Amino acid sequence: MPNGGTLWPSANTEDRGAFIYGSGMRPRCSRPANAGQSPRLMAVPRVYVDVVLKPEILDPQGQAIAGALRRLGIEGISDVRQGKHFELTVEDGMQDAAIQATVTRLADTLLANPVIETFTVRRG
Amino acid sequence: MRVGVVTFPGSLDDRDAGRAVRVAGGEAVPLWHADPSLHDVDAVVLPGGFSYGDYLRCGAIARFAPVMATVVEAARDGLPVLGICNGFQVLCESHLLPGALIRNDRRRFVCRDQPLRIENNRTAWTSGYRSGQQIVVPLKNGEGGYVADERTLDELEAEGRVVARYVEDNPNGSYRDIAGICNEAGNVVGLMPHPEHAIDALTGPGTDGLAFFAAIAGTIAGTLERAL
Repeated sequence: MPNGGTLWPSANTEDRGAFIYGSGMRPRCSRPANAGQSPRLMAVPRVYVDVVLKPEILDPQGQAIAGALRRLGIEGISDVRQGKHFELTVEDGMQDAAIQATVTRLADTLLANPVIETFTVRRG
Repeated sequence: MRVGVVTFPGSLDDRDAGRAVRVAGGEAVPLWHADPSLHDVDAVVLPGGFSYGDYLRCGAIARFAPVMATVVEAARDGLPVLGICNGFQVLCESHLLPGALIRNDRRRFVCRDQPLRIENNRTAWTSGYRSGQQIVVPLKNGEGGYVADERTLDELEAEGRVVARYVEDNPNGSYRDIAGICNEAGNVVGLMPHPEHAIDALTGPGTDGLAFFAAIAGTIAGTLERAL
C-alpha cells in the first residue's frame, strides 16, 4: 500500500483515512456530524417479513446448500431450507395497527405466494 | 383474427409468439405491459421469458402490471388467454389458474425438445389436436415444477383440466407430470413448454406447436359466425 497504509480497514472510523491515503494523512472531505454514533441512535422504524416455503414444498436451493455443507465437512446439520427476509422502512407517524394491516396485506399478495409459502411479520 | 402478445420488462419470447400467430394466419398485436388497453384483440398470449428478472418470484411482479388488470377481467368474461412458461407463472400468480411453479427438482435449467401428450383438446387453444395426441415442443425453464395441493390436483384431473402432460421423462418434478392446465371455462390455458418454438421445421423440432395458434383462429371464426 502507498505510504505504508494498512491493507484492511479497521472498525474505527478514524483509521479510514490511514487506509485510503496512507499513514499520517486524512481525507479532505469533512466527516458527517453523526459519524461515530452507534447505529441504534439513528434507528428508523422497520418491519421485517420472513417468507419460507411450506414444509411440503421441495426446496432445491436448500438441497444444493446442504450438499455444500457436506463438502465443507460440516457435521450435525441435516437439512437446510432457504427463505427470504424483507426489511420494510416505515414512514413516521403510521399507527401500529395500520402498519400491521398494510404489511400483512403486502406480504399476502406480493411478498409471499400463499400457495407455496408462509410468512411472519415482526416489528424492528 | 387479432391476437395480442404482451411484452413485460424481461419478456423473451414475445416476438417468437407474435411470429407464431402470423405464421398461423392471424394478426399479432403487440401489447405493452404499462398500457391497460387490450386494443380490441380476440385473444391474448402471455409469453415466455424472465419478466422483471424473475425477481421476488417468477411472474410475481408482472402480475400487477396495468395490462394484467384488464387481462384478468377479460379472461373472467371468456377471453382466450394462453400463458407460455413465464406466462403460465403469471397466470398462476394472478389466480387465473390454480397452483404454482417452483424450481426444477433436478436443480438444473432444462432446455430440450420435450414430448408431450395433449389430454384436453376442448380448449380454445388445443382444439387443433386429437385427444391423446403426442407432440414434441421445446422446453426451457429453471422453475417449471407445477405444484398444487392434492385437492386441487384431484379436481383438475376429475374435470379434465390437465391440458398437457409430460411423457417419457418428467423434466422438472411437476406433480402428476402436468405440463399445462386450463381454468374451469377452458378459455385460459397455462403451458410450460414453448409451442411458438415448434412452428417451422427450420427453427424447431418440427411444427407440432403451430396448432396452438391456428386453433384460436378456428374458434374465433366459429364464434363470429354464431354471433351474426
